Amino acid sequence: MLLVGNPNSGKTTLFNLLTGLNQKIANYPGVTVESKSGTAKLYDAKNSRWDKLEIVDLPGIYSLEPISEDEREAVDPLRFYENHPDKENILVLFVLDMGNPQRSLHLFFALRDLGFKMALLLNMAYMAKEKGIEPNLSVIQGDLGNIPVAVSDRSRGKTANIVKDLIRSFAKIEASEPKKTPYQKHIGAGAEKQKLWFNISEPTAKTNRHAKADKILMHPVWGPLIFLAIMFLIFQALFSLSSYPMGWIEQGMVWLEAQISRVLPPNNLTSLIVEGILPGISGVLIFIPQIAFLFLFISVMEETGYLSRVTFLADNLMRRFGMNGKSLIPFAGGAACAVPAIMSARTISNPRERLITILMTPWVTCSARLPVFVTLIAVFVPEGKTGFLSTRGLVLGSFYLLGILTVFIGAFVLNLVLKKEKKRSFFMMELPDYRLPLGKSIIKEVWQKVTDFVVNAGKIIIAISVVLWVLASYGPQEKMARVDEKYTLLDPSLDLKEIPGYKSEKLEQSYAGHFGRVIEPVIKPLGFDWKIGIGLLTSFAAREVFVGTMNTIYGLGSDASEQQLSEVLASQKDPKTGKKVFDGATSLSLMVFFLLAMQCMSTFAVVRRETNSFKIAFLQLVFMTVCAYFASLATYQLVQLLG
Amino acid sequence: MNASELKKGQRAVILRVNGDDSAQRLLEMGFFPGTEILSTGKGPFGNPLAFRVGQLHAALRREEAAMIEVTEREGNP
Repeated sequence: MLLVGNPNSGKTTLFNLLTGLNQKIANYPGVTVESKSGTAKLYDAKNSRWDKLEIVDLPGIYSLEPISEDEREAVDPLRFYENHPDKENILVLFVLDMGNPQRSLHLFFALRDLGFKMALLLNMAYMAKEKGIEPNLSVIQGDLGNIPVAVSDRSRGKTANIVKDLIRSFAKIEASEPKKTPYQKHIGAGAEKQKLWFNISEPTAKTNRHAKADKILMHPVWGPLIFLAIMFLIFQALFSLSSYPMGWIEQGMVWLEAQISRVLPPNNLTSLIVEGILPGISGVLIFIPQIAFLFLFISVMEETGYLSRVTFLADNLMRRFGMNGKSLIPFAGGAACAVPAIMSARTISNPRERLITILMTPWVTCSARLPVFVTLIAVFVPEGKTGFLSTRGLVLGSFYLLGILTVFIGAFVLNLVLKKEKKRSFFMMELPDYRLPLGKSIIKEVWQKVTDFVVNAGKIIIAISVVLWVLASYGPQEKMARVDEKYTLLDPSLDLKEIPGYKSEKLEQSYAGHFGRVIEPVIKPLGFDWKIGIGLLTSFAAREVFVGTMNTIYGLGSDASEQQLSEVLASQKDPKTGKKVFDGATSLSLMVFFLLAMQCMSTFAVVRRETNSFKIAFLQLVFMTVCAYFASLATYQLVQLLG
Repeated sequence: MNASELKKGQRAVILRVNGDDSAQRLLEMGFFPGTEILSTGKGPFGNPLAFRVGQLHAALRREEAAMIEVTEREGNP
């Protein structure tokens, strides 16, 4: 049995109701849009047995004549069945959203005339009633002849039974002969039948309330302002709410590491597990609260219908840069963290717009850049005020704006450069009625996104994390051994790791340290020395690791405050020239580098997942690094010039 | 006149939908000749344009709205 209808007509809910957990993804040749297939059991009272019915939930469609690539992909599965040899045993259950009957009625008639065996389910009866729409069942049934019709019930259990009865009755009927009515005629028929079949009363009080809400929320001036306010609140909530679970995860990991170290013998394998793999896993888990909360908020906005209003307001601006109104969500989310933000770009159906959005999202200043920025700003910007605002705050703010500017410039360039689509696509964005969000759908959505991330992006993150650990902990045999010897001699009573300076030197002699020295000539024009070079490598794990690495290199404990680090950095002098290492030029250049570079293996992993292409993720990495390099170069040289 | 020229709150009746592929889609969505159309607002800088037609409340881009020929209804405010 095929489930056909508009998107959001309740098809999928019905499908889940009938098949429970017996679902899997169905594949059709040449189609990438997912259809789900499952089995439902129907009790045959006459023969006292359970029959199995295979049900396919086809993608929601608006038309049998697609005008874009993704539309064609949604219609293809249906076309596949049109000439199927077993057609007479295929039942098509048409799910009609009574909230807007006219929109899919033409589809129903078109399918009937293609010779499919049909049944009609008038769905979402409750919501339609609130809008003042009621079906005239006797008229409808009379009009349809032997095609069974039923109306859904508010209770899911009852609806499931209603549908099962419907299935039993239409399994027995014959399909009508295929007719060659032109598609256009069906469209007209839809409009007519809507008037005939449904009693539609005047706008109810509810409709008026919704219209009033829209007056403000969709207002060209107030709308955006209200959205910004809501976004601001969401961020505050996101940061404060995520910090608790993030703290617990960190503590849990620390405890776990301690336990495992105690149980396993101190050898390389244990080190690999405790210092390489566990932190890697921790690095994946730590994102879960942020992803969960961001998608919780986005889901609520979507379920209530507010999200489409936001898209409405943003569309004009985004389009000029080759993107979509829906691109606003990833960018807004990116200010917290690019990882869930990039995942949220999935709602953009146009592949080109989606790609530009995904590629540009990492340039929105994310929260991980903050520790780096705050530390560096404190190094070269004095405390105090400029006018009303703190000078340091102003510099931070301007970097945020710089990030946003880069996003738009980059999008503009990409828009020019990427191959444009041949056909102009149809754009229509439905503004659904406001409604209360369904807890279940939201939880399902959040759960799905979290598991997707952990399973798919998680693998890459852990892998890279282990590699980086190896590079930072191991080095050429001789040199590493020499460091061990030196410090053992210094103080044989203490554990090596406790002796000040040990970790720093170990790091310098590791592969990561050698990497730093090797690239030093390349990063010197940017004002960086080899110690910073090490930090650039390790912070690929995550931007804030830069701070941790600097702490290690400069001999501070890992729990040093940002202020302590800033003071230490500010006092660093080059042993040869006596000049400050972290002067204004270097600090600015370093900040610019962090602004533009993809110092985040998790972003890399997510982009690869969302675009299904290592190539694209890799190209983005290279591209961003190159941009960061030249921008840093320009910054450093410019500041040097200006003195 | 075209639907894109309607002011916010203005009602009209659809006469015809001109154009290529998008035109058929508009018809399918409910922008059908003889149906009443109400303009419910515009986005910043006049794009997109929101309309209510039948049970559908949706936004169209200006180019698409321009394909819809309408005639003003009697008794507009």
